[in-house]
Amino acid sequence: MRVLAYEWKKLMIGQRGLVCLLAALVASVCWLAATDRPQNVAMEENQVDYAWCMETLGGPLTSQKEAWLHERSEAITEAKVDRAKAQEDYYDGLISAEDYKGATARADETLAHERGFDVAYQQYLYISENPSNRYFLATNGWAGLLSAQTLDFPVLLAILYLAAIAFCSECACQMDTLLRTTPRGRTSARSKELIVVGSVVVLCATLSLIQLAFFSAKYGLPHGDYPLQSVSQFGASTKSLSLAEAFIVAASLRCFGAAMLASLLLFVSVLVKKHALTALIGAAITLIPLMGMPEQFVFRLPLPLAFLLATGFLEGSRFAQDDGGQSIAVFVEVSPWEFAVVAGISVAIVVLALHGSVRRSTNCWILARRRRRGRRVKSAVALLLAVALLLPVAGCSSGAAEAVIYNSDAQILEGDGVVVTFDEETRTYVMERDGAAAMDVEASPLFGAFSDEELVKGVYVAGSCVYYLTSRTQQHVDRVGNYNSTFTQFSIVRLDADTLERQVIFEQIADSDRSLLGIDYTVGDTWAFLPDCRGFFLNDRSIFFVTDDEIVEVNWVTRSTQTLAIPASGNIAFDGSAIYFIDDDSRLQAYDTQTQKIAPVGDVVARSLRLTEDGLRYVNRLDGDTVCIRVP
Amino acid sequence: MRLIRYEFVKLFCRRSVLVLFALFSVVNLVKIYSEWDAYSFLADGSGERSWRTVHWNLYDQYRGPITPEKVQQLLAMWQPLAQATADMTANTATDDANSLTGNLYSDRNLLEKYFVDPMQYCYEYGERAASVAEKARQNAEVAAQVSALYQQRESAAIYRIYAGRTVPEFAYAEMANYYLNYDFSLILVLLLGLYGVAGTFATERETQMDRLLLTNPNGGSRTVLAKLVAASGFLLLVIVWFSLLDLAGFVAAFGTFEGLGQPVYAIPSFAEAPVNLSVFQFAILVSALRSAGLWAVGMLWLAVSLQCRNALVSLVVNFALTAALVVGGASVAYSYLVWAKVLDPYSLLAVRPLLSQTEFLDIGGFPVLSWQAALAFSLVIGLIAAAAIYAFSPRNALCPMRRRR
Repeated sequence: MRVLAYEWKKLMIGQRGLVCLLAALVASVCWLAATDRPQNVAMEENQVDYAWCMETLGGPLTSQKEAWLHERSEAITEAKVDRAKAQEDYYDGLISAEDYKGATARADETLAHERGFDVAYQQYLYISENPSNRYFLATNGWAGLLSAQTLDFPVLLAILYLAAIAFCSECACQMDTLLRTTPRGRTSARSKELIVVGSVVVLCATLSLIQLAFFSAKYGLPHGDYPLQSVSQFGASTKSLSLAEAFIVAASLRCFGAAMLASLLLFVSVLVKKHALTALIGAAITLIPLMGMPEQFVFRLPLPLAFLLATGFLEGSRFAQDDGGQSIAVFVEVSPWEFAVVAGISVAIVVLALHGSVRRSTNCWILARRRRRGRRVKSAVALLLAVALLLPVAGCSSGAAEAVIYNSDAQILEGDGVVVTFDEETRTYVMERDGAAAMDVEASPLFGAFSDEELVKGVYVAGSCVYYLTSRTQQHVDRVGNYNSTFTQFSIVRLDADTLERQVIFEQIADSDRSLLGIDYTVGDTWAFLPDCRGFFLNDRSIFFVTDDEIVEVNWVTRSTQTLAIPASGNIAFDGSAIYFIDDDSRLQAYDTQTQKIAPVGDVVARSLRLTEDGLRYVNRLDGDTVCIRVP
Repeated sequence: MRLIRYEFVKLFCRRSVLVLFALFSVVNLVKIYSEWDAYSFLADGSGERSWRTVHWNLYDQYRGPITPEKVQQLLAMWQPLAQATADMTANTATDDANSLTGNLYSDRNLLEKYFVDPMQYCYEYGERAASVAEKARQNAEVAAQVSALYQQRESAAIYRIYAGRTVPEFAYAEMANYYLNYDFSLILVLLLGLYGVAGTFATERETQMDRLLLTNPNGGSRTVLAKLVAASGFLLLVIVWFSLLDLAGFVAAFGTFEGLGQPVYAIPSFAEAPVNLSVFQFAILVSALRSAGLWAVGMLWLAVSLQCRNALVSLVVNFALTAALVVGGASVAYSYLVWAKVLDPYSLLAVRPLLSQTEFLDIGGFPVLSWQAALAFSLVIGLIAAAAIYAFSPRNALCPMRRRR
């Protein structure tokens, strides 16, 4: 015991192992907190409405719930139609104000939880593919928690450091030979193993518990007893596990992976007796398979990496379509017997590695004596691995606080001495300036020259600056063979019409599935709205993307996204400080972008609106569809 | 010179380095072979009607200059097949005597993949490049009207690159494509370089040999200089060796040198390459750029090594530094933020993000191609790091006193 305490003090305090462990823990937790995004943004944004739906739907799909979903879906469609009809009738003078109010109140009651219902309905479509093992529940917490049980780079570095330093520091000054001659030399070696393997397991377990607490606090982890397949990432899995069990299994596998890597490295370190070489071998046996091997091989080899990427053992098969439309297995599920073989061999490797390292650190006379007495083999555990993640590209701020005139459905946008027109024929935006020839806003001769996937999706003019949104789809070749993966990148470029200087002020990749250095990962659906974007405008705080039915506000600094409660099916006008739109009741409303509050503009009931230099021009429904102008 | 040789042998001719060198070379060759095996359609089978045999037989007819006769001949063979298989009702037999490979669909796929599509791309490239050049010329005129000097110069530079670009000859491009997109060896190079270089100074500090060295007539700054030169030599050797191995591996695996003489823009993913070089020349440029990138990163490793008292700490810190550079560089690899790419030496190591796009950086009103800027920046970083190592390395305080006396 005293030897153990002494070794612990030497390794953790003297050689700063504890600092290294804490640093790894802090780095991992900070990274998680800084980069975590909900897997299903709509579920997160509409959680109150979604929770209301879950009161009825929560749990397995039944015929009653199915009927409720269909009924509700029809009711929502009808309510929308009734509301629109009542509105038309009222403004046409066919029904009284009271009737109109009654009709809209009834419709609003039905439409109250519409957005949450949409999320639940999407979930229903997923569940109905296999209702026996897919249940309704709020999945963001579990999806985040399970996807976090994977390779962690700071933890990998900590394992490399601890495992390399345990024996090598003594080898460096030839203390190992001296230790072998002491009566407790063998105990010292065992203590080192126990400390290194134990500490990496504790590190991984602590990290998993912190992740559990984090996701529980941020999203909640309801219904741990529901099947694993309820989370779409594991939809095709054939494992009969509950969500809580899956977490325990994944966390345990990760701990075992860490223990395995540490044991192997301890053994390597007593063989090679050099820190740097030991750490390099650790990095090589982890990173080379990670980047060089197809995913399905990794999980069928007794390598620490497989266990460090724990969730792969729980996932089902994945298929992709090739050029000819045939499906190709991208990943084949690891069957229980394959897992048993891999795990069995891995446990044997761990035991042998630990035994081997004690044996190599033992005086041969003791070994000879021991042989007569028989041996006790003591197994232990070890440690871990890493991850590469995406750094969101920091956006620059723009200085567009002046008064502007923007209409989302306008074909012509005007600024100070600059007019941008959308050319229907060539599908391009053409910029005309006073006394200069017309030119495309994206003038790069290379844009679209060798690819049909490069487009300008929208333009916004403020002062003499033209901002335009481009989308570019490219094959993402991060490693050979990964040619099928593509990504679509959206960029907003600021073009100074006077000097023709261009500057990229926002950039984001929207695809949810892609790879970085050959490591596949998903980024949730935070940016899934970008491909549907049909226009945008911006101020000094945010960018507003107009899609077919919503407006998404993206903060310049934090890059957080927020869906605004603005129906975007009609024209949206923006004057630099407020967004004008017609709500579901045909009332003209203004959203103040500074206070983030919606307020009606007078008592205007309008059919369509347009912002002009004179003010808001709209078709007044209360005045026989006459065109009116109102100065905001 | 002797000191440099001595340092080189001491630092890098260690058994562990040599074993890793051999081991990583084997891993690299295995990976290259698996690329060929997994991704080339010519890898399967070797019978008379296999794609491989049929392809190379046909290839002899169509290689070389693209002439109207060859195009007509190819279309005459492909069009009937395309029409017959368009509605998926053609004969699906796999022993069709009238077909090249035994199956009509297979014939069509072979022709499309290896002849029709690549030849069409080569044929059309000249026209596309000409339109880019023409548009660049127009842009230059527009820029001149508003006296936008930089934009005018940039357009002129684009014009110079694209004017007159054509792909007059047709050649087998599959090998060149996979070769130019291969970067697994980069991981091996980084690991090997890191292992070799990271402990250079830390090992001596660890054993307190550094103090002893200062008392040696050749110690102090001379030893530091020798170590810097030896480490640079080692990094250069590693990159050159793996570049050669990659090329040799691909040539051996695909069993052909065809395509190395084609212009690099004949490979579709390099259509916008900013250099007018052949694939082989491009490969030499790539390995030169990689050398510069690795050297810059290597000097940063050495600078960290100088500050560490322990070889392991040096390795772990350098490992984290490299990972940060790699992840940062990879995340902006396809971005429009050219500065971000240029400032990260990883871009120079991976090279593709810089050489597959024509991008310029505005430096003092002059457009500089991103790869040139990255090269200059990496050299500056490397030189600053090397100078800092030389300047801040420990000196024997008695030496100057002795000299004064």
